Amino acid sequence: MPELEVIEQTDEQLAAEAAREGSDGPAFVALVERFRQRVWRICFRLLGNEQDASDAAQEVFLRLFTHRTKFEGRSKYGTWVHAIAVRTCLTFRRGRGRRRSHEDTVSHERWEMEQPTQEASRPGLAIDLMRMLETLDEEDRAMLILKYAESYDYEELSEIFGLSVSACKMRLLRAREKLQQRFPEHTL
Amino acid sequence: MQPDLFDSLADLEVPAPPERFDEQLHQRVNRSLTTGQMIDLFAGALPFAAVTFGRAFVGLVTLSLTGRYEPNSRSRRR
Repeated sequence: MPELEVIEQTDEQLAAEAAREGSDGPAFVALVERFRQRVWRICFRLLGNEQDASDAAQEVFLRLFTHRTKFEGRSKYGTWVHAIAVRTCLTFRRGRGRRRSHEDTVSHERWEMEQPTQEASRPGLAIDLMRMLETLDEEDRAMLILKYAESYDYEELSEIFGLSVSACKMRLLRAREKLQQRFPEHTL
Repeated sequence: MQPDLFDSLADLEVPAPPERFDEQLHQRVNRSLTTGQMIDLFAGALPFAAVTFGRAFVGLVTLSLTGRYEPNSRSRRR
């Protein structure tokens, strides 16, 4: 497929084209190109280290490839991709379990050191908050991170997590309340 | 007013994806395709070929020993 045609096509058109391809052809490669950054950001935010984020992001695109004929167009393709990315990361985290908690702490410390220093207090606070978020249920944690770190709106979150908008709002509110109860020394 | 602590989450920088990301993904897709094709081959194509050629061989042996040729039931219905 010529490059210009790929650029002009919508995500949904490319997905339909990718479903007809026998391997990772031009349409699928174009979809990877379009969603690489977004999927990577979700995976990195939810998993907290590059190695796991890289594995998970590749797993996401592999799932998109193997399920490329299953996209039915009931939601936007982008939302479908983001939902797969979130589910994959949640599965990764559940599989990883607590055995990696020490590695996570080390990784977060490294991440903390790599943050820009011009606004020293804000990234420091954010890293404290990431540690606090570890005490929450996986889905609540993911929802809070997507909402506040990646600025997803309630409509997007509701489609990704398969909830109504009001259920999403309620869940976020309850998650914040839980955190406030657990860490009363912070104003959340 | 105190700033919302949650807004500080957006301040944490996300690094760029690894340089070899696309190459590794391409390799994983290829491995997945190869595995799928191997499963198709061993679970579908080889048993089908074995049954088809087996029937032909049995027919050949039967014809050689008895001099009679009995087509299988599916062919007879036609």
